[in-house]
Amino acid sequence: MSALLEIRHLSIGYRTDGGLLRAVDDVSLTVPAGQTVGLVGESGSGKSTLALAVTRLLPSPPAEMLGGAILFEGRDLLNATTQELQAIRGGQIGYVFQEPATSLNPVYTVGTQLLEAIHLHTPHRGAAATEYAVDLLTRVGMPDPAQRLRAYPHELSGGMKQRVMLAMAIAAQPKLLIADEPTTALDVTIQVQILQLLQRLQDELSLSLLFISHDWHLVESLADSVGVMQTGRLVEFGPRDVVLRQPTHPYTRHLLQSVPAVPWLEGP
Amino acid sequence: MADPRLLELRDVTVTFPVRAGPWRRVAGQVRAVDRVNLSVASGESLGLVGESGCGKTTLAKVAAALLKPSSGEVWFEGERLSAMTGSRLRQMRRRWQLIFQDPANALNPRFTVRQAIEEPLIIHRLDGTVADRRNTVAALLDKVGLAETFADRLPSELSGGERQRVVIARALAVQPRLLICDEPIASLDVSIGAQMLELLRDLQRREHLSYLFISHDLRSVASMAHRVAVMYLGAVVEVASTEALFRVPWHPYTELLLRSAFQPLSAQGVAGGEAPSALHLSSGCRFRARCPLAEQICVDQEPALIPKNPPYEPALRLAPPSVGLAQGSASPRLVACHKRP
Repeated sequence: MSALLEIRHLSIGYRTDGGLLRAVDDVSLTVPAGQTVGLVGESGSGKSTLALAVTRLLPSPPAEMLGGAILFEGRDLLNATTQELQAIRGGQIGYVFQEPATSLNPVYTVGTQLLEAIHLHTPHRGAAATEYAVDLLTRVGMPDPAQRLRAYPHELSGGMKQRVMLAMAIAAQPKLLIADEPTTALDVTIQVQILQLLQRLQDELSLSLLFISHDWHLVESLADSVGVMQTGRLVEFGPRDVVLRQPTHPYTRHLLQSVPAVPWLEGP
Repeated sequence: MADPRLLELRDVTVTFPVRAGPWRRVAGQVRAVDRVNLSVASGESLGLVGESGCGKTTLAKVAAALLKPSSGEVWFEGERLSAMTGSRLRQMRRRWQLIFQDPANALNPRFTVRQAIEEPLIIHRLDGTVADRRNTVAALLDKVGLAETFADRLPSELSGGERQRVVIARALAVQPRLLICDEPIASLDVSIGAQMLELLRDLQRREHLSYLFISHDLRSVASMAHRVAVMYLGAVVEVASTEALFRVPWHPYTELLLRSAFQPLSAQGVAGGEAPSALHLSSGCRFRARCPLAEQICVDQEPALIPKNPPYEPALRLAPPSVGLAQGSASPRLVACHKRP
């Protein structure tokens, strides 16, 4: 099992008036090809900083890479040129964020935004590009895909917007998808639909997934291995069942115990 | 002896005008809340769950007399609020208080914690001397687990959890009987949220408070509520004791909600469809478009919310009752569904 993404001793700081804030502190983790790594932590634990840092999306300043390496297919992205990074962002590594409403531009149609991704990262042009856009929307389970190309984001529900985001993310057939709380803004029944979709896309495209969430239930559903972050440090990392059933770090245990128990659902 | 029903909503409907076109003409009415009957008994927690846009918050505003229902009545301790105005209503208002989702927005950034907690005392003329007020603030802070030293801080100097404690202390200042909590932990981290639920349960025991606890998070509702009402597109589709509801969800929508929230992905069916817009409610049952059981009758007739009994005993699994909650009022399960016996 080869590692698609390997993060080695990565430290990231934010320059603030009060000095340097270590948002990510000596974190090492690997995402094997075709697998899902779940990353759990509370707000401010550094999970989103880590997610953005993978393709160097953090604005610098204030962010500063303090050390370590981010190896994607063996190449260190910390030494990559801007041009190389631009090909990787949205090309080999796709992103889906929490709030689909703010990820889409409200003044352009779904089609325009999807075609932009297609033009940037694929050879499809003209009618072929439009056809590919319809194909992508079909894949993400969008009803009436051809009509939806002309829709504006505000005409779509939250779940449908997130489907569009997923269509854009997989347009270039990436190898790795980084999903940062992709269903947090959605209702629970829609959440299930998006997770099922993620799982299906992962199978079809043999995607690897770095899945960031504060919700243990979702991580348990999707992840092969789980990392737990606390104030910038990765305090626990291991196979899902080990982290969830036999956590070794007290913070992991604390987080797991913070989930209100529903005694009638959870048997012995 | 007062009515055991503290808060009662009778046939409450709230409609909002829908404006469209270049002149913003009223193009129709949307029923945000549709003929809802609910009551909260003294000392009880009623949980209200449902997805975004189902009318939970509108219902909370009606219950708090911040919004007049378009039709129907709101009763509090045997008095009809919908008939009250002016100073009489203002006097009543101290019997219930609201806790909102985001404590950062619920506190005035320029008020110290002391000023925030004193304000309702002054408005309701419960303030005494300066020394009295000082003692009251200290006692309230103590109730919510904060030291008196917090009194002179500003909201910006507090964490999210501490702010929510201040909001709760301020609500308790006027000695209410009912707290209407609208997503009280949704903006907090998991571990802080857990502490907040613990505090609310603890306060309920000590102060004999009642709660209308509104949340989209089924876990927190399960750990807080004696009874749960499930809303879908403005209407209550099921009400049952928390244990009965979580053991055997009987309305197909309740079933879908619980399965979505608690079952692993592999156990989910082919979940299709989204809630239609409340603007275009179809005839008959409002859930029928997503319902696996839907038949012709569900198109023809709207099901009434009536007592129903699942044909099997709910005690399928041995499990302890919810942590330290008093027994909820024995109430029948009400379900609005043609297909469930």
